[in-house]
Amino acid sequence: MQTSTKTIRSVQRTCVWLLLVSGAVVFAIPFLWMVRIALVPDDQIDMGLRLLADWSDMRYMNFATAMTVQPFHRYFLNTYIITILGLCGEVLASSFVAYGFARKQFPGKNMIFIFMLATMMLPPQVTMIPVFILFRTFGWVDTILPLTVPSLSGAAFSIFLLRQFFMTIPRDYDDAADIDGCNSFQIYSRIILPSSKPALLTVVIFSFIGRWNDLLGPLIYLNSPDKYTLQLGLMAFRGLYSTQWNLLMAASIVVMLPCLVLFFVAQRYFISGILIGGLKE
Amino acid sequence: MGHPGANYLWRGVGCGLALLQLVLLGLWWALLPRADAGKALLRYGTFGTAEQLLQEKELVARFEELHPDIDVKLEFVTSGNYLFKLKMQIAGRTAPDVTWMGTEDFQDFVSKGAFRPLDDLIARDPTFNLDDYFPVMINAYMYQGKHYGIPKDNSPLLFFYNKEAFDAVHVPYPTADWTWKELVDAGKELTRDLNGDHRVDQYMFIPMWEFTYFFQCGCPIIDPDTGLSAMDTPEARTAMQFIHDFVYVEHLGPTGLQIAGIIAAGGASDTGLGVVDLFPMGKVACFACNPAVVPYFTRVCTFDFDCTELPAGETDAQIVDGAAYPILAQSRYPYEAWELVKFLTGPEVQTYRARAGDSVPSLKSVAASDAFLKRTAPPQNMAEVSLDIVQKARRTPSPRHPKWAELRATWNQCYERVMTDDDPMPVEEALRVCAERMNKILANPY
Repeated sequence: MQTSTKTIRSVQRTCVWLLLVSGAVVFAIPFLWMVRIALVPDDQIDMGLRLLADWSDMRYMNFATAMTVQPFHRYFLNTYIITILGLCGEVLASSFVAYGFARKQFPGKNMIFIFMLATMMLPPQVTMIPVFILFRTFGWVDTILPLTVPSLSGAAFSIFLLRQFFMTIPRDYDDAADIDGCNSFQIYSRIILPSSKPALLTVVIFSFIGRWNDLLGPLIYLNSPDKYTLQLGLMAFRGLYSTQWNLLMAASIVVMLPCLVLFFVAQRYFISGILIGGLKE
Repeated sequence: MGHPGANYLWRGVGCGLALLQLVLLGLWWALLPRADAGKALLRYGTFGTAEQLLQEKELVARFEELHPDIDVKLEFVTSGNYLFKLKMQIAGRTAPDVTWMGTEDFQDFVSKGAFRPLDDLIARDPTFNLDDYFPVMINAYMYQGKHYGIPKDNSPLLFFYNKEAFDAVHVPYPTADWTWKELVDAGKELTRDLNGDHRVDQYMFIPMWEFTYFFQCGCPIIDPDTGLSAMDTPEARTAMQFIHDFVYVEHLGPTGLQIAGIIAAGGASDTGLGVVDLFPMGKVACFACNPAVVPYFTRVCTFDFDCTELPAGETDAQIVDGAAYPILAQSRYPYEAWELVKFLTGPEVQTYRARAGDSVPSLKSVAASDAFLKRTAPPQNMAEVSLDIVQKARRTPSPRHPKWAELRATWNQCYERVMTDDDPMPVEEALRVCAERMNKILANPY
């Protein structure tokens, strides 16, 4: 009896493992395909899936070529500056606004919150030209200001995510701090923020990936090649009639590394940040 | 509560990271290039690949060397995003002073007042010789009798052929006197099943650049006299019937579905025309395209290839495209911008580009020079054939009309209804519908 139960369990476990492994393989194929294309010679046209069956002719120099054919060091620095400035602004401003929505009472709070959420429904293409003209009036075109300064007013999704998380933190903490003489800013900075690391890290990851991979913003606002970001650099591998797929994929792999590293480092927090509601009063 | 030492450690790390950000920001700011005070700062917008960016940087450096009182800021956009960005810049009044422009979009921009006429600049400049430019491209950048752009190159539509595919079936190579009849006759030999699986592995040709066939039948697409669509005419029907029959009756060219299948199976490029890779893959024996594709074909083709003129229809309407440099109406430095336009379209730069081998000079003097005629890169006949086409061509690939983008979208819908396996529309009906829709657009004053 015990043996048959064990057999059933091991069969079940094997099935689950097989399912998981096959799922993982399906999701890994595009990445492996990308790596394989990054290693093909310049004169190869066939970029089909069949490449995955042949890993013989590997051109590792493609990575060096891809990184040197354009000033990618410059693009890395530009992207890094834009991402970090925007990220800091977004996290600070969003958490501050979210704290207000989660903890403070003021007239029209719910209506303002709904208006803020409604901005998420507007596709960026709709507001693109008016916003561009606004920044041109400020004299900000061909500077990083349009890509960083707006983050100081927060991002609707981040505010929503953080507000939902802050609301799960027991109000008793605020009351206790209030009795100990903390003002609102101290409660925000000493109680709410330290208790919200998973949610803050989630916002950091979303914001970092979004800004790191942004193409439209830099395309519109940056004109000088010296100020270009990585995504604009990647686009330069695409020509009118042909694309240097091997170099494009090699550069793409290098460009995506910081996002991968950030995700793996913050993975534990990221998942708990997404699962809002784990902490209950 | 953690150990107090750990808190200090984390604070130290935090401060260190913040300091690092400040240092990086300072470094980034310090490395930004700045214009010299007292000089005119021209903005020059163009597009291309990473290699072309390096070429353009060299040209800009050379211009600045020749004109020490002018600084040029190169604004380089990648292919596919250029016009989108230019429209944004014009709408926001931040457009560059000099910009790259193609024939297909020129009328749209110029009719909206984006460019300034160049006639006054041409007239006051004794060093500039307009007669040295081939008339086909000069005319392409005229609007209401005025010049708005100086052509940087000519881009004739060439008929590339795979010499080994022709040798394999003992068919003589195509020549400039080929007509549609020779194309079809040779196609019957060159459309082949190479591996015995009863499926075609190599087609003759893809009849792209479809307006060429209309021009070759004497159909101007838009009648210059009446201003109405010329699609519902016997000439248009002959052209469209030829394109249709070549693919769906003679089966000498792949259908849209077959092209998609070949591309999906080979993972071929999806850029530009998308089908460009079918030639180096050996899936078509002949391919029509402009010289810009030559460096790519040279790099990836594993067979010997050459080029000639596109087979003629009832008339020999050869096609030439080409880019030009207009000066934006918003420019604050029109005279300095003119110097840049003159340099970019002048003999020195055209000689430099001719040696690169992917364009045909727009200056007659450079086209007749050894720099172009004695180029050694394949295809062997390109210089000679290109020059012949440029000298006799009178048309660009698309009709020149301010509403062409809208008209083109209408045409595409009708074309796709004919060239489909799924319940195709008869040629005559599709052209009638197309003409009606085009006339509605043309009648609309806005």
